[in-house]
Amino acid sequence: MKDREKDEQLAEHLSKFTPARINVGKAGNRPRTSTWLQFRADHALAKDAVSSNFSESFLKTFAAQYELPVMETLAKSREEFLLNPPLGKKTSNDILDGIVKILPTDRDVLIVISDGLSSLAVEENLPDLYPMLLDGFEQAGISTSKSLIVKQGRVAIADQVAHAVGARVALNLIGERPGLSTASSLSAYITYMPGPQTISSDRTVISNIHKGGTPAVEAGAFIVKTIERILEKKASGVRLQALG
Amino acid sequence: MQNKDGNSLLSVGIDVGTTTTHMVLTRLKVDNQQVFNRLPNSSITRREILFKSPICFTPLKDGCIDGEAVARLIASFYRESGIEPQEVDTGAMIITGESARADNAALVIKEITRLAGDFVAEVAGPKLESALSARGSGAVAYAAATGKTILNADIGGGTTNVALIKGGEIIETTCLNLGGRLLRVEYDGTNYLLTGENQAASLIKKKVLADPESTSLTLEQLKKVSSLAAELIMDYLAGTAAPEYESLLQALSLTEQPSLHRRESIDEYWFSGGVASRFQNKAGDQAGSACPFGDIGDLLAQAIELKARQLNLPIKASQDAISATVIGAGMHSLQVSGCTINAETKDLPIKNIRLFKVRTKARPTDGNADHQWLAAQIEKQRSQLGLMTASSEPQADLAVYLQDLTPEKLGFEQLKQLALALSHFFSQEKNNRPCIVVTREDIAMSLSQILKPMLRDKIIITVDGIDAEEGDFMDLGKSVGNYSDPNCQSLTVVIKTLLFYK
Repeated sequence: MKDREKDEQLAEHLSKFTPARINVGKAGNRPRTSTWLQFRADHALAKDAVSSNFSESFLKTFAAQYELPVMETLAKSREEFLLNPPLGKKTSNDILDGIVKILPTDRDVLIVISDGLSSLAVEENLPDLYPMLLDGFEQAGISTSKSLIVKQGRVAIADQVAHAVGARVALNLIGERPGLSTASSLSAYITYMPGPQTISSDRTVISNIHKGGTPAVEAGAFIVKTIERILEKKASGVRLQALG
Repeated sequence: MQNKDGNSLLSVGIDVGTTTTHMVLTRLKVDNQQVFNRLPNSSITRREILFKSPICFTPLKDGCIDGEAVARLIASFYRESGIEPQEVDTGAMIITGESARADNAALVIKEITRLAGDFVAEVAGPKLESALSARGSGAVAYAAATGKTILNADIGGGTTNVALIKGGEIIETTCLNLGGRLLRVEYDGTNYLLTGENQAASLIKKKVLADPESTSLTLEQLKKVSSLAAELIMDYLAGTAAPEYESLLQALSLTEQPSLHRRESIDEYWFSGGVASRFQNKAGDQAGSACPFGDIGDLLAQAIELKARQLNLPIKASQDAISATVIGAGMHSLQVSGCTINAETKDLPIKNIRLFKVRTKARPTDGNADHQWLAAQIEKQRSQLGLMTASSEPQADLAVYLQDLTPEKLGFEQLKQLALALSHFFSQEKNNRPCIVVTREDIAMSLSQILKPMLRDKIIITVDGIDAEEGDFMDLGKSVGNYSDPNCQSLTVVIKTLLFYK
């Protein structure tokens, strides 16, 4: 084998250990055009994921298939959400009143599906994750409220809604901030007895759900088990961790 | 299987070879590799040799392995180590090469298993042995670190076990029925008297000796035999047999032939096993001292070195070459599963689970197709193995190993289709044994969730993160790893083959 081929073999081997942009070569002291274009494309994908609303096709297929209501937060547009992030943590009293009217109360779990910083993450993972959750909760005898889709939502929005409808556990499936290696990573934030007093350490999180991380189906089964334990121990977040 | 600190396992490796028998005791440390915010994972993070036995000749009686004598030998190794067999958590005992074919091998294994410890797997079979010796020689770790393509050949008394390793993954294992004990000889002052030979020997002698039946051979004649054996071995390794040797190699291969013309892609040739431990040993040139072990191992070692020089191939003997197989058995036979699996402690451990490998590629893609494709594959394997069908084999545990899954196939619908096929198969099994499914991909917990309502009255065990490509049987051990979350657990798994079952 020629030296050059061997170098390529080694570089290819090393590339397997990281999604980072190594082994891309150079042209003079600049990146190659193809490298640069790939970088720009990935960056654009990340930016798009951050700045995009749920696609119409997702709302038409997924939301319609499961008859999920779509709710807004205090942020009325993507721009407002990005420029004033705290608005994504809450919704208005009017909207909340409307939601409380259509959602069953006194259930174990409320599932909230939020775009967060990547609606793409939701669109790619939910079709596999959501049916795992529904089947799993049913098998475990865990009752669920009607699930919600939230536009311009952040983690805390699920706590507000779950508190309002009297659900014992808030589960927020939310798009993570995209990076240059993946724009479709999802997290599950879980709070036991959520309310205005809830702080970050009260939440249990299962993250890195995407094709290159924990597969959506496996995450679904694991979330069910985790919520089973949360209901049994009556605690989430660091309190649950401390119970071991 | 949780030891004092819950994370360390005592593992034994025992190698009963054609020529020598030895044992190692090692401590394996299992640790969580928790990355912030991600699901934890356990793996073996440290391997430390606690005890290495002397290398003893394998006791023989009437041309067969003397089971009782081997058992006494192992018992003496344990006494010397100061460790009781009961303390051992895991490990593997290998009956290598020729000795695996000796008539009483099954008996020998039974004899030693009593001594070795409850969780020690019995392993035999040329392909798995090739994989273990390549791990034990350090070739796999070296290939993983450097990305090189390494060929590891473990040349023992009876066989040459070959593994082709690319970037840390073993991509092909084969085995050639040639080793240092091809001819057993005794020096009578002028010539070498033949005291025994392996079945391959007559084939080789016919090619190079004028009188293949002669029982008294000169050093020159022994060298001729060794030289051809070396040439055959090197041809086998490189996948480039001269036309006149093709049928001979075919006859001597205990597995399928290695892939052809691979010399170009191999960066380094590593040699281990007893013969490799004799590389760079010049004593053999003097009359009378050419065969210090009563066989042609030294001559074969020299012939291989010469052949490699002629071909200008980069070869090296691995460190502690003779122990590669036993170290592989002690240190590398154990795998640790993924942490999101489904198994209850009360159902474990389970030993000697027969593995049926199922090609999921062969799954019909039409969603409405029937679910019999998986059961059909297993039934076919059963009939090839001469096993009885489901209903009439009440005691045997079996597991389905799902091959060639890819991330694109891990969606909810695809998993459900797989589960339907699995439940179709398992519901036909009339016994009450657990339904065991093994995968490499991280899907065990989700698969068990989908399977549960389909197989309500059955015990379901699903384990992922396991590479079972080389094995026919599996032992499931108990939980290891200290997870703070009780929903996470990892099992120790040993993949093995039992040659005599075939």
